Amino acid sequence: MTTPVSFMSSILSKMFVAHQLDLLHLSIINLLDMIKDGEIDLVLEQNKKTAVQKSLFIQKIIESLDSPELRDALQAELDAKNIDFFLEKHLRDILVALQKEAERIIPVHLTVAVEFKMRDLQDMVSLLSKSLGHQTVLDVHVDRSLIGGTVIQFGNYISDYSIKSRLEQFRSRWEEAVVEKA
Amino acid sequence: MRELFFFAVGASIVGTVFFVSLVELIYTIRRRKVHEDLEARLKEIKSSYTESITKIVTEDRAKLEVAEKTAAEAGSTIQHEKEAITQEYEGRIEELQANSEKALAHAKAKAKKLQEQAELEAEEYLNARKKEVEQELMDLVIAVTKKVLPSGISYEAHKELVLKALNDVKAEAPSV
Repeated sequence: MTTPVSFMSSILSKMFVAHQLDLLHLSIINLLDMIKDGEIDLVLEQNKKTAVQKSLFIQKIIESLDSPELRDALQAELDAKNIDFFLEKHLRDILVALQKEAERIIPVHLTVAVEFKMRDLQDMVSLLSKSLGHQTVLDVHVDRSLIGGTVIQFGNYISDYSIKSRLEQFRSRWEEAVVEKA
Repeated sequence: MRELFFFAVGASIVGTVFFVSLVELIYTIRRRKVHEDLEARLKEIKSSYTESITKIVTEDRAKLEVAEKTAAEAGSTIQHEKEAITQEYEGRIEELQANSEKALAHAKAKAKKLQEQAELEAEEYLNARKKEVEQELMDLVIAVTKKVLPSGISYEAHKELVLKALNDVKAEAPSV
């Protein structure tokens, strides 16, 4: 049986962009609502239901989730015939822990000049997480007027590394050094 | 008869001579009288003329003296007036000269001030134009750079720029 830590790790390690994190939160909330209503145990604890029926029921629940990462992780448990993993008490604890871990992830707003491939975004997230010593996800916006570089913002921190900004700085220094003194 | 005749002739001649002599005498006396009258008259006229001349001369001398005196006074007055006028005009000339120098100095100062102001305005104008040109030049450079640069940056270069920025975040970012 998969440990909660490895389950969470398999999901969180695939979080790269803020949209994934949003979908994960949404999916966790939906699942917790279902658990709260006792919908899952109602089926899984019925002795007359066969394992196949229970698997199909869980399959439907999994398919209804918005987060592909959570779907994949749960699907892996289902494929491993680990039905007990989906029992409400066990699943709730894992989801609550997952929710807490997900909330600790820092969403970083990244404004860039071009649209990057997911592979490159993963490289960026890895580097940023390594730099900050904390897991991060990127909320990427494309603004072609930046020309190049990026604007990074998270919490109260904002830093403009764009070429547009550098050009403006260059223009300001030019004005101070040449035009103002003229 | 003859004697009478002779007598008559002789008496006639003598009478004629006598008559002529008498007439001559009368005329001589009258002539002398006339001559004396004339001389007296002449003397009188001479005297009168002399008096008149003397009087005229005296009057003329008096007039001359008066005229000389008047002329002297006039000369003195003219001299005084001349001196007064000279003094007045010398004063005026000095005043005018002073005013002229003052006006000249004022005009020079004003001209200098105008020149300085004109130079300052010209400098300001040049500086403003220079500033505009520099600004327009920089705007042009920035605009051209913005136009040209995006197409000149490869995908890999974009990625490198972002990765470099993300790497720099560590040093600048607050602790999380």
